[in-house]
Amino acid sequence: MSDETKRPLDDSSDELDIIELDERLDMSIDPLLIGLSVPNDHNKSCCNSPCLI
Amino acid sequence: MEVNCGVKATQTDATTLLQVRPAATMMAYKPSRFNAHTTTEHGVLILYNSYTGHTCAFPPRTAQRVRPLLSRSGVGGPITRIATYMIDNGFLVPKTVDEDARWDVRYGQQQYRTDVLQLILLASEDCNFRCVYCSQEFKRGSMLPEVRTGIRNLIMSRIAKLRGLQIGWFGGEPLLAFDVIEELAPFAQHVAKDHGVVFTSDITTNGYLLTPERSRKMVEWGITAYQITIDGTALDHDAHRPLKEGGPTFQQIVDNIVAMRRYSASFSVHLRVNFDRTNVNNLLPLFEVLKEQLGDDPRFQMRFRPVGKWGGPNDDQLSVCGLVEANRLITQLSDQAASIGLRTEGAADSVSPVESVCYAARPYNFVIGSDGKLMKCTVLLDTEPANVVGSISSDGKLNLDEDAFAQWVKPYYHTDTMCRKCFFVPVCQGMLCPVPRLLKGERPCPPHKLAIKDTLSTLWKDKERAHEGKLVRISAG
Repeated sequence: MSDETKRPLDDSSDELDIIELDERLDMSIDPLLIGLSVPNDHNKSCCNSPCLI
Repeated sequence: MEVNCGVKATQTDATTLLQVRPAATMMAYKPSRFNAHTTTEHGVLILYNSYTGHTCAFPPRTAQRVRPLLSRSGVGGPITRIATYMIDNGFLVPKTVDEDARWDVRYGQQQYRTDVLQLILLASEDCNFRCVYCSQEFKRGSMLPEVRTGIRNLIMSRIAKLRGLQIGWFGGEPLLAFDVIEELAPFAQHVAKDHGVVFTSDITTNGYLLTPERSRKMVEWGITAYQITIDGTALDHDAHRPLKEGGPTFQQIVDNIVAMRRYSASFSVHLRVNFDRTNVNNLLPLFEVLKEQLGDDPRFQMRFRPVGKWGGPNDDQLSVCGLVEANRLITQLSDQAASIGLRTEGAADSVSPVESVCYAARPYNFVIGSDGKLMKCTVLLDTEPANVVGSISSDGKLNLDEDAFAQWVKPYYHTDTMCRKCFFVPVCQGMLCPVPRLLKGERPCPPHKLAIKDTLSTLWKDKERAHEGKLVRISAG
């Protein structure tokens, strides 16, 4: 490991704020390969297209 | 990710206090190759990961601690608290991890699943409107009885192996064939329920025939997602979207939408605005009307899309916006609608790992025409021979042209070196729209990826405006 990769940060005396902007999805890999529970929701066109044709 | 750094989370209201015990490890980490980030004018670092879909905002003081961790040289030595957070949220990964291999497995499980069936049914290929920008030919009417029988048999033959059944209603105008919906929608809902299968259903309708009696029935049949297009107030809308025989449509549609608001049921309505240069500057009065009629009802949400020239008879007269201009206008219109209190489709939707792949690219998704043609794309329909990939028999058998089908669903990102190394590949999978791939050999790069820094800034503004987001405080304790 190079010196450059060894960069511990001294954050021991502070509280650090983070704002999470999403509800986290369960995207873990299913060992049975039976996929995600979240349906694909690409919106369909309505007489005009969302696509890049 | 199998990283256990001893994180204990305690939630108090909207704030989560993370008491992080640094792990005594010397493992080296690197920034995920699926990261993207930008910094706002106020110094807030917005960090996004396309593999997890996770997006965080780091205020300036926290951002100072995060930026060094995003160096390509990585991080090692004693793992700090903020680094632990980054590891747990996928922004940092062990240096030895092959993220492309991870992604290939994820892609396989999404693409080749056999436990889902998605059918887009063209209940009627005729339409009671003649929208100026429409490219459809209206060659056929209601779905034939033998096709309906075939769909019933297809569902019955597959249901025992499914975990999810999704039925989309499309056309033409699907409500011109309400009898078809009445026959198949409750049938599919009941069969799914009997087999413990998750059932979802949506409809794309012009809204003119969506009477209160019909919408109430349809919601009961599980059709809970609606897309209805309104292109402005009466003057612009009626010019864009007149009846087939001529005549206004705006007021009837608004009346039908307002009637839906009175139900207590759970459903969602995307109010879509197709904009071009003729209506894009006149939409504020529409927003005010909708705000007055719909109030703060979260079930109604605005969606903006540019008019395009897709092969209709009026293409030469359309005053369309360019791609870059259109994306800027989508943001502007969304801001304008949100500023008067309407809900809008946000930038978060465009970077979610489950939103940006076209249904036509999925092997488990078929468009079924009123005559039984199996198709993939709802824009091309049967105007393009390559889009017709087979037919359905009355016994429910899908007669597939496997070679034609394969062109729609093959993993283009495998052989497209630009896609292969792109940070956004878990989201669009190289298939935001398969049509440029098939017809022109072109890569369908998502505009919101090309302008990812703007997209992330917009996402942050959306969340700030809606007062959304969860504050997490990393404790030194």
